[in-house]
Amino acid sequence: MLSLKELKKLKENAQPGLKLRKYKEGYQVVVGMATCGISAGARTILTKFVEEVANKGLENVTILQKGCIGECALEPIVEVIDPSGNSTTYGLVTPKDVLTIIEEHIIGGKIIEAKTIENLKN
Amino acid sequence: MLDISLHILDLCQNSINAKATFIEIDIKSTPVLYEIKITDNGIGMSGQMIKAVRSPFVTTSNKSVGLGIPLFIDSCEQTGGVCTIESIEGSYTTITGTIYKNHYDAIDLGDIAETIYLLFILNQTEIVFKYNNFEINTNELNNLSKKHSISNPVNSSWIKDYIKKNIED
Repeated sequence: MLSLKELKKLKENAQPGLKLRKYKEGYQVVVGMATCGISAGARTILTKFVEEVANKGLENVTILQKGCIGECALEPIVEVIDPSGNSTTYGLVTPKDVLTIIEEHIIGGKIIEAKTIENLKN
Repeated sequence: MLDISLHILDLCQNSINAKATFIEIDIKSTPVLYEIKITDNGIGMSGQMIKAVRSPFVTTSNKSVGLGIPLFIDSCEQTGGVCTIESIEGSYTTITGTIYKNHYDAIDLGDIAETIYLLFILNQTEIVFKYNNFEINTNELNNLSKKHSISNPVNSSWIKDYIKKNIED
C-alpha cells in the first residue's frame, strides 16, 4: 500500500513529463493504427514515416499512433498537426504520399489539398 | 489481415489501450504449426467480456464494431487451430492462437521484424519478444546505452535487421 506522501511524490515526479507532452513543439504526425488501418497497410506508412524522418534528420517531428476515427474506408489515415496546433487529416495514404507529405507539408508548410479526407469524400 | 505479423501488431494495440505496462509476445514455430501467445498486464476482462469479445459487434471503444479479435479467431480457426482468451480483471490478459501451416487457408508469418521494431520504438511499454529460442526485450535494449534511446529511429534501425536475421535460422 502506498502512503499519501508517496503518492504525492509520484505525482510530482510525473508532472514534468506531462508538461512535455502537452507543449510539444514542432510537427506531430499521427498514424491511425486500429484494425482498419493496419489491414489497409498503415504499418508500411508508419515505418516509412519513421525511416524518412530519421533519414532527413528532422528533429521537430514526433510520430504518434492513434485508434480508429470512424473513416475506415479512407484508411490509411495520417493526421499532421503543425506547431500552432492546426490539424490536417490525409486519407488513402500510399508510401509515395509519405514523401510528398514530409517534403511539401512538414518541410514546405503547404497543405496537400487533394489528399485531405474532406476532399476525398466529395 | 494479410499475415500473422499484422494480427500481432493489432492485438498489441489492444494491450496498449488496456493500459498495459508489460507485453510478452511469444511465437513457437514448428514444422506443423505456429503458436502465438500474447500476454499483457493491462486492465483485463471479466468472464462475461471474454465470451462477448469473440463477437465482432462488441468493443470497448465508442464505435459499434471491434474486429481485431474476431479476425484473429478466424485466421486460427480456418486452419483447424484454436484461439483462447484468458484473463483476470485488473491483472492480466492472455490470448493464444494456433495456426496450422499446411492448411490451405493458413496465412504466412509476414514481416514480424517490422512489427516488433515499430512496437519497440514507438511505445513506452516494456515489451518482450520470443521466437522459439530467440528472445529480445526493450529493457535490455534501453540498458545498452542510456544516451541513445531506442525511441530515436536513427539509433534503432539495426533492431529490425537483427530480429530478421535471428528468426530466419
